[in-house]
Amino acid sequence: MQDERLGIDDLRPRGLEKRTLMDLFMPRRRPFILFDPDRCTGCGTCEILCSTRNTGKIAPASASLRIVRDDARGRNLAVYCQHCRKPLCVEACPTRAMTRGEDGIVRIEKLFCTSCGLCTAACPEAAPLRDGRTAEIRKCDLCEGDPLCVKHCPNGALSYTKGKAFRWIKGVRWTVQLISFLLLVMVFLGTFCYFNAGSFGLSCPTGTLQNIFATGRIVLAGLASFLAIFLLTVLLGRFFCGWLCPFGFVLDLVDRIIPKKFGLPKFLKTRMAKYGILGGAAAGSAAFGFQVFCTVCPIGTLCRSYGQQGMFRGAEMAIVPLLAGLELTERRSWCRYFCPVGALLALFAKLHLLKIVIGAKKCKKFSCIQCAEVCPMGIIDGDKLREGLSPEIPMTECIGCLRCLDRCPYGAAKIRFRWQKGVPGEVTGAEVNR
Amino acid sequence: MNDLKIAVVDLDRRTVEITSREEDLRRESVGGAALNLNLIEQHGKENLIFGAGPLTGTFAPASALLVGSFASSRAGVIVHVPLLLTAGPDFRCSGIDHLVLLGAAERPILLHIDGGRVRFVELPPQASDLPSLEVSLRRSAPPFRSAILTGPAADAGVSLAAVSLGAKGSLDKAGLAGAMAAKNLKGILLGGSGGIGFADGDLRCSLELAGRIRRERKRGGGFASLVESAGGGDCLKALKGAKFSDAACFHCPAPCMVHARFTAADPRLPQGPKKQNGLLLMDPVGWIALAGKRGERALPLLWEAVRLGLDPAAAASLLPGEGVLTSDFDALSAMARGERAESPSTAQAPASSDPTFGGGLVAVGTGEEARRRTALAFILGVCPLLLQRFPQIVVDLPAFLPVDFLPASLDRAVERVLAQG
Repeated sequence: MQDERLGIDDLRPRGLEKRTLMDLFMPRRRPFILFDPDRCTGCGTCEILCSTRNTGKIAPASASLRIVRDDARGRNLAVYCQHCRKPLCVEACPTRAMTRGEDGIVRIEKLFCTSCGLCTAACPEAAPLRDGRTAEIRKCDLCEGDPLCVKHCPNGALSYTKGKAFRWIKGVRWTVQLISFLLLVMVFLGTFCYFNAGSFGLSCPTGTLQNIFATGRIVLAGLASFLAIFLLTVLLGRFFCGWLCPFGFVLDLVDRIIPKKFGLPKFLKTRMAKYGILGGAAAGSAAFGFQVFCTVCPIGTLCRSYGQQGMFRGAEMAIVPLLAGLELTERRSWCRYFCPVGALLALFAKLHLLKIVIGAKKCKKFSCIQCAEVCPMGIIDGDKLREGLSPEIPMTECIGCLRCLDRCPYGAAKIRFRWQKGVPGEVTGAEVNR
Repeated sequence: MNDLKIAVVDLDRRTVEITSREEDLRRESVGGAALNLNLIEQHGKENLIFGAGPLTGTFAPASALLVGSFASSRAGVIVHVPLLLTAGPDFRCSGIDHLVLLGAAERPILLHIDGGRVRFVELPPQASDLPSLEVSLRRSAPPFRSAILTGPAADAGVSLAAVSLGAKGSLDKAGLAGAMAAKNLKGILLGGSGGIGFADGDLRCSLELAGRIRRERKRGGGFASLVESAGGGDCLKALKGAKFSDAACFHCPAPCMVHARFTAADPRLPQGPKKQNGLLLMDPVGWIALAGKRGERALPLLWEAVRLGLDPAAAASLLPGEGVLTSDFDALSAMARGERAESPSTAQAPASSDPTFGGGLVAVGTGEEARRRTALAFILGVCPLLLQRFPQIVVDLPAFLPVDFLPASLDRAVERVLAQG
């Protein structure tokens, strides 16, 4: 019979719950409180009410949230639990006192809590707060779904959201990526490299460029392709990379499976290597008389080798897993640093009509930076957001996946036209209160 | 009634005596400024008393007031300095209602109050200004929620010095900083880890009252209104270019302060980069004095004055007629070091019309009724400005007092405070 007493293994920190396939597409709700520093006057009513619930007394030091007057920034900050999807406090707690419930609320079980403070150390917000009087660890439990602080904030600086049940952009993107992958890889063989419909033909722009250098001739289909891709990229940015590229889809899937273990050399961080590869591909094609990069292009080999005829192209099949292995370093590292197709689109995207802006003023939590975390191209400067400054997003590197828009709980990330000035939430010349 | 805890600290001998006084003292003097008066009479006029009112830290709106009382040699009366923000509630949450400071310490020290105990804390290595002092205290001193500090100006014995709540400044224009410096008391750190009890109906009553105040507030009452009512309407133009957000004291539904964010280069660093600074504008009188003299340069000057622990109004009166930012910064530094001759008219002279409440309170109302309301606020421990701006709430405040409270004692206490002024 199994021993039902607690053993040492039971006391060891356990990992987070395993993610299911449903979590991939339809993650559980994340209820949390939104804080608007522009409305907060620092009156501390939230602290008072929270402490009365915690202790039965007006004891701001015993509240589960803390208002900090930040004089240097000239505004107030609130420290409270964000009820993260992957709470670090739960991982850090050695006694399993922290749990994330089915309702998405991260709770602390006082019976098991030893007040060691590891949760506070692990939390990027330092949200589990130590009670000034009893030294217990306290954290927000959202008053079980009806937060008192939100109800009675005199200035409406706090609001409560049950979280998005379904991120529609995410759902649409994954669906489009899947359909694109199936069409390009499984249905129409080799379509990405060259597609011919009657008298009209379209081809891969990088392949076309190499072809021009290899043969010294410009074909009409190639020009039409160039023009079509150019116009689409000017209009939508590197939309192809984020939504249609079958290899990008593979990388997004691989990213969910393999951990990040290694770093990449610093010289790659300038993101100029891909332009070098593009130039090298063109020069190589001119020298050898054929499209040299196409032989190793992961998109091309994926389309050619993994469909119905894939089994007959054994050597080519190795290219995809080899390059997908780069995901051990950074997300979409192939797209960030090496892909010549992306490099060509990046050159087109210099004339972008649309841009993505993130307004730090509307971004209510300096330490949230979820947009920077979800960006697969790593182009959102989280440090700037922490400083309360709006980061500039290089549209030549942005693949238009819209993850930032989807994830931001404050609506601080927006699509704007290139010529539109200002960022969301920026108030110019606010008047002093009367 | 709650227990009334009075801590008597002898700075000379470094002894602390905490007494839970019998209820008759509270029945007689209620609390706040009135009880401070009582304690001054009991212990001597050379002593300094800090006291909270019976409503301080409760659900009563803007129950933020802590009163510092001492005999001002210049004003010739016992002066009550209002200390707002969160000082009052943190003082009471530290387990003390009144603090009597006797004698003077041998060398500059700090007091740390928490859990009903008063401890002496050694001063950290000398900090050059108030923000760096607060930072070094956060790192080295026992944990505290609020701090009543004196800056370099008080260290130098300058009578233009003002007490600062943390590094945010205060409404002290009566020389409380000087009184603290005379006792070698660098500051009081308030742990505020305890709690204050409340009655069942207090929250409901508080929410109703706050709702009424907010509806009424639409007609004005913010920082700009205070500046205008103090006759400094033109000085609001000096705020052009800065960005603002409202700021309020503890549990106040009608904020009358603003956080101002402005970008300016530090004139002490030649060709230094422009940097974003923030400042809590809580002192309309100081603002009018500085903005009236220096216009748009008043924001960085106010920031510097607060940093050095100077009273902005008094400092403004000593600034030369003309000057650039660099020379003004130099002048402020010289004032804080005590190297600039002080005009007797500015030193320890209460800026408000009523020397009894010798802070920088803007006189919103006039006449005997307004004085009575101010005295009432100083006794109960709520913001006097709130009572001036919203006089209709005066009748609701006794609802937050304990049931055995006698209204007649409140009237007596008000008379007493007004009479000594």
